[in-house]
Amino acid sequence: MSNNCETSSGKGIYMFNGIGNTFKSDVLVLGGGGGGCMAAIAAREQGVSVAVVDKAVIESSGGLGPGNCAISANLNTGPKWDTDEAFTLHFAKELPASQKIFDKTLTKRLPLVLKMLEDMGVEFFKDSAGNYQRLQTLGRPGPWQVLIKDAKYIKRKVAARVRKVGVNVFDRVMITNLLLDGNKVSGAIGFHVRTGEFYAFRAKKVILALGDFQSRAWANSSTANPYNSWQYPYNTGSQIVLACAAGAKVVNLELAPASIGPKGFGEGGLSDFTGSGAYYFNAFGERFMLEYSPMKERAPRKIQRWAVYQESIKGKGPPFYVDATHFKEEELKHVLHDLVSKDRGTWTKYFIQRGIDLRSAPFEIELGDLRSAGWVLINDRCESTISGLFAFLPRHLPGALCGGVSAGIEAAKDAMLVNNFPAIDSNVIAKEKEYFIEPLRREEGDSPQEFENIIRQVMNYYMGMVRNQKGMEIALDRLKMISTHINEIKAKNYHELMKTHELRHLLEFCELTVIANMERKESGRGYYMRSDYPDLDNKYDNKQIALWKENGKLCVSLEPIEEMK
Amino acid sequence: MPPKIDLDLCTSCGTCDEHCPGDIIHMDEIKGIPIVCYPYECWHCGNCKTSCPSDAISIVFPLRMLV
Repeated sequence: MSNNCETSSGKGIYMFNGIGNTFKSDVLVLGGGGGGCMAAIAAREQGVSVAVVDKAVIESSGGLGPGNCAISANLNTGPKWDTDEAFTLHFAKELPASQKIFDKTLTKRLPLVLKMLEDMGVEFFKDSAGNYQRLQTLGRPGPWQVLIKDAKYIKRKVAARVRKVGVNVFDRVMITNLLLDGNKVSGAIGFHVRTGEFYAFRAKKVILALGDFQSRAWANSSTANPYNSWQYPYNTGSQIVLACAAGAKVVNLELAPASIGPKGFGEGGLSDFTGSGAYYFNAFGERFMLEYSPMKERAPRKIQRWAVYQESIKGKGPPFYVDATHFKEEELKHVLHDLVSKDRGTWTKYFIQRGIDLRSAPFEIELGDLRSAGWVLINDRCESTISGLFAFLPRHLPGALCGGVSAGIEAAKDAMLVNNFPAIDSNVIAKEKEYFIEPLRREEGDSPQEFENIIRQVMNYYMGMVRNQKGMEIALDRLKMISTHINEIKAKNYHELMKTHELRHLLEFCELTVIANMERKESGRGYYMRSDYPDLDNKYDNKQIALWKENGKLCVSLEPIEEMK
Repeated sequence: MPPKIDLDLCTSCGTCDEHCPGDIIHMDEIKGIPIVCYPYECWHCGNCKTSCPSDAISIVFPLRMLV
């Protein structure tokens, strides 16, 4: 039995077998960050009905919420480095991912995405001749970074377009699980994080855009606060966990990056300084990057991170510094006011409140976030390995925006070929509804914050920059032990209920991360070292470690990086 | 303790509540003012400040981030 009703969320909400709010759309986008919003716009512009769901509000949700001052883009202006081929080769190798998939779903979408952004009112820094202003950094062969003006408003402009084109937006709804019709993804379920209202979404095609990193499993930076992070701390691995649980393959969980950042402030943006010519120094006044890379401070992020770590092991710091005292006034102003403060608006406040004058003194940096990452394995149409589910390659901002557009277009095209909506199982939904609310009904138990601290204890201790088999085995054993206590969490309100479900996904993501790390018996391809396998092993060349679940059992395999058939 | 809201400038529009991605700011329904309910979970992203139409919000870094 169903009743159609209209609610403030829009037309089309209906009761499904007494379950609660149910919404049908041709395409369902889970996650309203940069990638999810672009996917929603692209799908909608194909003419299909679209819903986008985010546990925050799309104007500010996701890593793009505070802004992002640059996007890596090849513009095909002539030089060898500024070609599709060079761009694809460099970044696909870095991930590592299939060059064909990267090229089609990301590189080739860049001109369209830049135009879409400009149509939304996003402006770029250009010279008097109208050419994009660009920056070279992070070991890249050319100045690929195109610089964005007033970048802290970019997400609001994207969100405005989402609403304007008629996407049905569900703000403040946290997705807890996917729904399946046999082996096909048919929708998702979640709850409103303020009201506790339960939602079931039904769709012909589903796009996962729930974020590709999580860093809450570690206590990052010297402040030991996991929310003090570069990457969006409100992602806890739902992208990977939901896909894997549904049977889709996820890859490269063991190759997650780690960062360095300003001391006490878990933020990225150092590449804005180093790309503009800043230097790194250790406690002895040595410009130490000279020892680690001929590219010095413009070396790839992995080398920079490892260099600071090595210097700290040698006792050459802390402290470590970024020195921009040699910058000309206009260079410094550009970096501070046009770049870093548009990556996150609180950068300049940080310098002021720390009493730092960059003209006269360097500022301290520190080893920052450790992370889990990975992505849903896709083909060059953004299809995952299970029917009905789409995703895109992670590659920071261009990955999110271009990948989102690709996934949106492909999901919409496929949805148009489908007449009927797949089924959703009201028994499954009823069971999930009870499970989701249970922590609120419990009379006593640990708070979600305390429980999450326990997860971090394990990850901090056994899963640092350097790992070994025995340590990882113990980590996995302890994480599994923690999971046996997960039904002892007491949530006092809907905020804590949201935290409880975040940590469900966090815990599972940590387990998958450890398993993937144990599978990769080498060092040097990712950011982390295995002390028991300190060298590269050719057997992993052009290979990726894939995880997925079949009938509830986790499967792992080493697979070639090639186009999926 | 971030973010700091100047109640003399605040118009109780609720935008900071809406635009905080971490659900840490909640409008007090009785007093009609925004409250930073979960300061520890603040990402220091500045979204609240960016979105505030009255410029009533300043970001004050806690001592642990300044040492």
